[in-house]
Amino acid sequence: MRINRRYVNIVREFIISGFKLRTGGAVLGFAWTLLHPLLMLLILYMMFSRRIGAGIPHYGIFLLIGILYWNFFSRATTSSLRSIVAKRTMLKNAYVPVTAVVAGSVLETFLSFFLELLILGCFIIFSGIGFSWAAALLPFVILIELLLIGGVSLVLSCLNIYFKDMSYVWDIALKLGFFVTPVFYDPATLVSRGKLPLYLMNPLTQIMIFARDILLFKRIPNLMNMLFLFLFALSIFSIGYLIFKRFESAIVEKI
Amino acid sequence: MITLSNVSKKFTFYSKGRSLLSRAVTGAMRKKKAPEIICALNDINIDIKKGEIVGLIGANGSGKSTLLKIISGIYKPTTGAIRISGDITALLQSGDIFSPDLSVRDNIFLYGAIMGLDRKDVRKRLKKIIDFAGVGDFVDSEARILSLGMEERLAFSIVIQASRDILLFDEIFATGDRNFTSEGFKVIEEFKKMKKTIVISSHDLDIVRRLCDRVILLDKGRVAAFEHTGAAIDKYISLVKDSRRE
Repeated sequence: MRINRRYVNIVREFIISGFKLRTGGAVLGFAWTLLHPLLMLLILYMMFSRRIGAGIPHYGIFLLIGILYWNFFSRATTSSLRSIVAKRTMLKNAYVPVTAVVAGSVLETFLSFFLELLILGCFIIFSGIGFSWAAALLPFVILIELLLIGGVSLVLSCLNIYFKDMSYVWDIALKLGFFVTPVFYDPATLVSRGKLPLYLMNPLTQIMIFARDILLFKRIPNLMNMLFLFLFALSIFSIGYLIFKRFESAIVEKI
Repeated sequence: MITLSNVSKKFTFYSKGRSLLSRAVTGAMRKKKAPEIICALNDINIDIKKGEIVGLIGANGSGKSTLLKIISGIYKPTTGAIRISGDITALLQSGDIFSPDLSVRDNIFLYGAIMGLDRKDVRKRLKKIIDFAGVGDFVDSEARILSLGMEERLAFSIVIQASRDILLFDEIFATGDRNFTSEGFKVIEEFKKMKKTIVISSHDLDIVRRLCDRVILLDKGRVAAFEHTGAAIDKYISLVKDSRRE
């Protein structure tokens, strides 16, 4: 990948225009993007706080962390999946590095995620939990998720060119993912002992455990696990990148 | 300078349904069908010098757009080699260029970046871009209100501001009014003085005659002629007559 000034410019403009398109460029649109996770929080809280969330301290914050990290993954991969087809005319008009399209789409979602995290921070302060030094590890957790999303998005956007129904398949996969990832429950209480090791192999589960360790329980997560997950995410990203590069020149012809 | 040696481009199409579902249902049973291969360009050898204005003519489907996409780097040639010295700015697609939900201004910044301008460059040239395109009254409106002709003119206006050494145009004057065409001519003539290299495809032979030094005539993916404008156009006209007789 040749990351030169032009590449950076293009990605930046994709982020800005994507953000404007999604929020309608208006304050109200922007408020909606923040309101969305909060309303989701409200719904899940009403549904689950009595039973599933009963033994979990600060269940609201627990839930919000789950929602934000899950939404980031789900939104970023979904928008990347369609990103290349959506920019069809642009890609056929002048030479544009195709990776920039996917990068723009992932990073645009990251921008919203970042703003949502600021709001989460406010919640954490107001609920009296506060922050510990463990919070310094948070950027590392976010980096892991970003790498994971990047790798998955590159592969998905590529598959979407070859299979027209990819977005349906991915939509269903995400529905499943929402339930097998501890967005609204604690796996220790809900998943049977025998299935737990398999369950913990889901990288998103690990990411959520890390994020909650850091933000909610104010403790340092298992660093070995974290390093291992980082290497795993890095290899997912590299594999995704290599697959994408393999098909890159064919992609523009097929859209 | 643009040099293409023995460049060919083949497109492969699979007639099989391109969905996971149809694959899952029928894929196991059906034998794999051979893909359909279309040879869009066949053994192209051209050599365009710096400062030359080259026209590209030929019937629909003769490979003009593919050739421009190959030169611009959008498509990779199947075989053959390309050598280009200089930065390319291209305008190859008509219509649907801008994002209808973004303002005209935002679109200029986005498109400017695609053409290699950063925010600062665009800001510096914004007035010129808007004035040439004649969209002064619509800068903050959504781009959906632009007509096809205005859209094309705005894209052209951004491209000329971003242009460096080489420009590629695919049928740019097809949707423009007379005013746009004559101003576009002026720009291209000015670029000629600045020694910029331009390749322009067109069905309008008058435009080609007026602007171009040399002309490439494409016929079914092959170079049928690459010579001085008048001679190449004559060849094209006789080619069309021949195909009618057939």
